[in-house]
Amino acid sequence: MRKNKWYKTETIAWLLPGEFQSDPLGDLATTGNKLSVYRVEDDCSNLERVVAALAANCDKIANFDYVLFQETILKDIGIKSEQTKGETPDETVNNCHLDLIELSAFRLVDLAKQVLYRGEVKRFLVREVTNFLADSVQKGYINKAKMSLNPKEKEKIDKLTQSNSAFNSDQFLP
Amino acid sequence: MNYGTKTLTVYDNSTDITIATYSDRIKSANIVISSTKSAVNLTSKVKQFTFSQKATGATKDPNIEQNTLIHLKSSENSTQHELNNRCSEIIYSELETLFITGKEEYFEDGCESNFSRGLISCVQKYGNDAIEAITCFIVYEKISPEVASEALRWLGEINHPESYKFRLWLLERSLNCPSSRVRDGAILGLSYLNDPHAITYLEQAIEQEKIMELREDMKQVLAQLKRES
Repeated sequence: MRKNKWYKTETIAWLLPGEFQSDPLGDLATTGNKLSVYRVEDDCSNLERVVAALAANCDKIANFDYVLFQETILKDIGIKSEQTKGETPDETVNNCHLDLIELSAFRLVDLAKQVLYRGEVKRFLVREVTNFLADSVQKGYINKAKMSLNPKEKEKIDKLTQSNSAFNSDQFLP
Repeated sequence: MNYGTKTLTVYDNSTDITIATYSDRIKSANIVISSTKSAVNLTSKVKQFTFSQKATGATKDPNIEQNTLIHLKSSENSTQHELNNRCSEIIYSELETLFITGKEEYFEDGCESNFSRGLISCVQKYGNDAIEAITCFIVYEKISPEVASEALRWLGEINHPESYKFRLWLLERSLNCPSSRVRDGAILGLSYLNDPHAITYLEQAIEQEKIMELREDMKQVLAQLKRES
């Protein structure tokens, strides 16, 4: 998704009160009337790990725009979900994956509206995402062989991981 | 529909001109001009260089070669300034095609696209001349905000030291563009460049920014640049 499609405080002259632009719907692309999402802990303790796992599925490391919303929204607008395995190189993150199912066009618009007004649209910059990736690789969360990043990006992660390891081992020197 | 490649050589000024394949739809041709001094790969509106070829659709007609040679000989007499202008037109045309076709693509962060590959290729081939043309498209709002935003992100990401200053300037300048999406592309491009030079420009942009979310995003990049400095 792209955060710049989800601004709530932008004044758009042609929008009527209570309406929102249609562009955000493009970020909620469904396949088989399902939408893929990941469950994040209430204290966001696994957020960085989820971001790293999803970033590892890209060609390049980039900024990461995302939206957080309470699961109660789904109940409020009658959207069902089912737990299915995610497709990232981090097995633990894959277990946090949900499909929002039986999505009609009306339900999808409802979801976008609820997410826009009750959710939080946020961004991690590329440097933060790079650090999350290096952290996940270093801790062995991510299976490097399954990363989709191009060789140049993998090299970047390797260098960062090595320099972090050197830094950590220096701290324990007598 | 593709046309065959045709090579014409003007021996007296050591300039080879290759008229490569072109597509009917975009009506442009890749033209490689290589001289003793430099080699540049340019794209022009077909009508500027191959008007007779286009009219007949043939590639073996000696008249075409003759017409093109006449055209080239008249170019010989043109000043360097005129040649530069023509080069600019050609670069502009190639980028225009790229921006038009880019409008049909769906862009995702972390994913390369035909547009991003074309943009990188243009910058690597033409350097500051490409950035100059891109500046015209973005600053004068000749392209969709979505495509302009995508271009700015990649301009921050490209590894091309020769155009670094010009790219930094364009990203700083784009913080004042009327479209919020373009301004967002500019801050993302600046986050890639990570150059503290942009701090003052970001601070000014934050003061003027009316969209709260975008203002927060600008502050996030500003904080990163301040850490860097």
